[in-house]
Amino acid sequence: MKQETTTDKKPQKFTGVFIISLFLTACVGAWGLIDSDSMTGAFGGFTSYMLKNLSWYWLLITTGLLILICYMAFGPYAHIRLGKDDERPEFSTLSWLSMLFASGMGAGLLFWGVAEPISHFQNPPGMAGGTAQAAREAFVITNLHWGFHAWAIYGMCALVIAYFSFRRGMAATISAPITVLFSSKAGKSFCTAADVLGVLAVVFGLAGSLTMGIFQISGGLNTVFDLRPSTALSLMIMAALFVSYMVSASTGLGKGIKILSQLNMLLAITLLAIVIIFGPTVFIMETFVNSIGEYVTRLPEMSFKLFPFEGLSGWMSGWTLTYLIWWLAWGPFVGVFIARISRGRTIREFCLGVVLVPTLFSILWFSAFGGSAIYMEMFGGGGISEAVSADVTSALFQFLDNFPVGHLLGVLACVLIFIFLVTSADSGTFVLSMLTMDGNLNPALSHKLIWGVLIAAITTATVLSGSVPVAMAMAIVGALPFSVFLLLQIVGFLREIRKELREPASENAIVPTTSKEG
Amino acid sequence: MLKKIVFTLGMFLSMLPFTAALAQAQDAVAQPETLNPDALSPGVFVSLLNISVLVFLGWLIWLYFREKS
Repeated sequence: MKQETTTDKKPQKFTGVFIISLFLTACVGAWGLIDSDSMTGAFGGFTSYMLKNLSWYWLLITTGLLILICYMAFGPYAHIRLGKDDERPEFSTLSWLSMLFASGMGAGLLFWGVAEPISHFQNPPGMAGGTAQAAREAFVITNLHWGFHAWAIYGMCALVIAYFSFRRGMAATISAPITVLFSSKAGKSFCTAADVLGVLAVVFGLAGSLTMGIFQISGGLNTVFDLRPSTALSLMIMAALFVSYMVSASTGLGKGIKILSQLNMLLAITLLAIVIIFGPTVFIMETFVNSIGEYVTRLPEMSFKLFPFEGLSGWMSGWTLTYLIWWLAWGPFVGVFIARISRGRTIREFCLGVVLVPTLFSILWFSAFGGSAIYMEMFGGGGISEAVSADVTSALFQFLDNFPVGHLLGVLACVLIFIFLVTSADSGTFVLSMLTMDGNLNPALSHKLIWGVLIAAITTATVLSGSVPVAMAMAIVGALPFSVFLLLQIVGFLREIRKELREPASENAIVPTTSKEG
Repeated sequence: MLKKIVFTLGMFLSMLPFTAALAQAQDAVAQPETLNPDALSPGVFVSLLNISVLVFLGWLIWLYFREKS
């Protein structure tokens, strides 16, 4: 079968995928701005229905992706390079890790760093809260949500696109791996549907996540500067965010995102270091080591655990499945972005870098923030649990108030969240433009600006709901239908990579991707 | 290739009456007076949804292995 390469045709500015997804996104944006309650209610209902009634499917596919990425890292394909055999990585390892981390989950770590371990410590599934056992369970659950599963989902989404784009010279789109399965005219329509659903998953995933970040900055400003949270304040933060990410998007990948990601890593590590040094240092380090052991030991059991006999399906839907689908929602976005910055790395290097390093960093992050918060609850003055129960968005700032120069740390955290949101939105507009321009690796500025405006419209509609659960429902709604195409992508990838080992090298000649890289 | 897609889709669609019948049977089992129907069966559509997903996963496995056979 003839594979469609990026050199086969002239890049189109207004593709079918661009027009269809633009129309659908504009309709949803208009719906949300006209009747925010109706839109968020419909999306929330759909999400909750799919989580409740297909819980086994979500856990099974995400655990399957984790098993698959382990096989890729240590199996027979590990030596294959994502590019030509003599190609070397475009970005240094430090820049690569900081960019993928900032785009993947930066702002979320700040949002949930304190709130999530404390929530599980208070109300662990199937046991009494507030005990030492509950504290251990809190870290196992939190690390399950933010650890290997999340990065395996991102990693597999990215690996598939990077392989087809850099190794096979095909377009960096969601549909490229699916074209090897269906080459007929009907197959092409199927591929267009895959691209459109991938775009919608990115748009909604970004809008929901940006909304949560805006709520948190609003909560932070309330704690630090006593500014009462209101819709007007949230909209002002949205406006500042919009201007910032549009400016960053206009500067290109090598400047805006790269510089902001490195600045973010620096600020995040500074904040982490302050919490470790001025917090209960020994307790944090003990929690870190203990968490690694318990997480790795319990991973096989937790990866298949759905609590059917305990009657805890509501808890499972509200926490674990929501997270796993959230990562799926961000899969096409982070996947395309990670693929774009990972050219020239071997599959083993790629898988280990994408899965191990961010997971270890997340475990350290939760040990520092969540560990300190639980220490305060168990052995100190307490008060963090009440703060989390009262307002999850301001929990981080209430927690930072317990440190020397707490107000200054609060300001630093607000700046950090803001920059994380700018980098996410910037890389989101980049990826959306890529996906809707036939996988153009250097998409046009006009496309980035159009997507930037549409993301702002949908985020504004979600902000108007004023609810964190609605923002989370919004973030995952696009992933539900997209999961079907993700699985097809993976089947296409496995079939093609199997051929690469079976057939002589000449039959798998690498096609150069010169026309779109400028 | 088109034939293959039609064949595959046909296979997929032909499963639907079976799944519908199965779901209805499941509902019928849930009807006895001593049982609460809601507790035993989630309903026809949910059953169909779950079985369709199972069929889809089976179809994916077939897609992967079909070259070998």
